[in-house]
Amino acid sequence: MALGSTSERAIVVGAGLAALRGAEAMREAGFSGPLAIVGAEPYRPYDRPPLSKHVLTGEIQADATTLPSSLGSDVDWHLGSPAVRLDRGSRTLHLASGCGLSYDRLLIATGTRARPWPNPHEGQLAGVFTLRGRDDAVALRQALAAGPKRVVVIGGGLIGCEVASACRRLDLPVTLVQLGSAPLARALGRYIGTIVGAMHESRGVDLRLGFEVEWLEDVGGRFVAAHLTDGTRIAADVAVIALGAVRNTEWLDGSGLSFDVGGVDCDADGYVLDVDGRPDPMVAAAGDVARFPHPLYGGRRIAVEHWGHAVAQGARAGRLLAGGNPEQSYATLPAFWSSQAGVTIKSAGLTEGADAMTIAHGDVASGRFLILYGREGRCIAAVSVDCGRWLPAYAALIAEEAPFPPKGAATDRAKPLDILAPGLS
Amino acid sequence: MRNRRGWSRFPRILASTLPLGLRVNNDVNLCQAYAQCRNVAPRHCRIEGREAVLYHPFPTPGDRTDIKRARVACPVVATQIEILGRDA
Ligand SMILES: Cc1cc2nc3c(=O)[nH]c(=O)nc-3n(C[C@H](O)[C@H](O)[C@H](O)COP(=O)(O)OP(=O)(O)OC[C@H]3O[C@@H](n4cnc5c(N)ncnc54)[C@H](O)[C@@H]3O)c2cc1C
Repeated sequence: MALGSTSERAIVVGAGLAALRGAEAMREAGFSGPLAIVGAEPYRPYDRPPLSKHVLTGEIQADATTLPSSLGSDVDWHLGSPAVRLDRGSRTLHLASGCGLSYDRLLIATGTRARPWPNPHEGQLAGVFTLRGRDDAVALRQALAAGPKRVVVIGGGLIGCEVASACRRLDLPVTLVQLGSAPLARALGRYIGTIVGAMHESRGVDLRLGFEVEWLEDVGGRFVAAHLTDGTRIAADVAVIALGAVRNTEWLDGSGLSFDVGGVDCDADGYVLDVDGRPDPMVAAAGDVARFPHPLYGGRRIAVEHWGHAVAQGARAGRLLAGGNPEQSYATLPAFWSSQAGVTIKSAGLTEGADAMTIAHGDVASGRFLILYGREGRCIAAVSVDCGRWLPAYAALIAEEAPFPPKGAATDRAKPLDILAPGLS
Repeated sequence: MRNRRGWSRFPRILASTLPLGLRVNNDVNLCQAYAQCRNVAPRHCRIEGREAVLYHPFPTPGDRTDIKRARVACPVVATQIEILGRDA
């Protein structure tokens, strides 16, 4: 399935991180034919992690996030015009601009967008923001720089927590409302979420746990307060909706490919499946939008929304489409980092379904520790808080599905490890 | 320049105004805060808290020797740089 002659054309749909690394990998694998990159936004691929961190605090300008790249000038960029339809019969990609591009190989890397506030009228009020792209970050930065009297962050996931952190670094009063019993609980469990939540509180974040925002009040179209389900009214002039993401797959309507709001389905090689479950050897997917069977998780299809994954899977898909040597199934261990509350949190593996955990390094009181998670007697994930240097050792245990609790592993404990409940429900 | 917390502040550059320059990106998953980059390029990298390394993502052309040195100094090769412009 190699991209044989140089007259074969490749298209990368999406101009984000996975798209960029995929396009670079095609070129590095020797593909020298026409290569087009189609992006909905008007920008060359940029880095999103700073958008919820130093761009909000004003330390890095949004337009300084453009990613380094090894691509040369032999790329046909179609920016600012999203793909709207894929016709696999005639191998044509249609753009909103009306332009139709034909392809021999196609990489789908359209990522996700912020989940909107469920009430569209309230979601569009002045002072209400979501955060996914550069323009979102610029708008939110402007609102924060204007010195609002309070910011309400709705949702205590990674991005919500980072936004709350940035607000405190700017000395802005901030309330974080989270339905669950601890921030980050869905991703990391209640145990670690409670610890990180306390770090946020000690830095002045007003945490409202176990509450839901019922509606957003406005005066003349401008947001003025968030109302919680228990009747509490929180007066604020900025609201940040941080309720996760939905995948950008609508443009695949009518393509005959297997997809829904949870992603586009791939096989173990990375080829996209059609509605009958057959791989299309011309089309691959990578990054936040791709749902693929991970060998470490019993071949169950998962979608991973992390930076490192977009890099690794993007590059692999690029090589695949360029016809590089057959590789083993994509099995890169999911990993992410987050900077918040003055600490660096790093994770390897997936905590989902963990039934036990242990503090394998450091101690909670010192604010530097590493937690190892187990499920059914195997190591499945590790999370470090300011303890990242130990993470690779545990990532290796996870990758080889070593027994949990680990025996004779490199923990810093003299005594047997205490087994605790991670609080993942 | 120093901000309130005493960290040296990065110059605020508008990337679009740069004819030549560098782009820097640190793979934080790989980065283990050995801080060698900070030792060789203190004007361009800083450590936040106990283990977050921050690069200015878009230094000026004159900084390229420093940044290249920072890249080679990194024990886990976490730094990616792109040199823009003709005299790369
Ligand atoms: C604010 C923020 C902070 C983050 N911080 C971290 C962090 O600290 N650590 C970490 O590990 N991860 C972090 N992430 C996650 C990480 O950035 C993503 O996993 C990564 O960007 C995914 O890359 P991608 O290429 O799959 O998708 P994206 O980066 O979303 O790129 C997809 C691109 O496709 C474009 N597109 C969408 N629809 C179409 C269409 N129909 N036609 C053409 N183009 C289209 C979009 O405009 C977008 O540019 C963060 C994400 C955000 C939003």
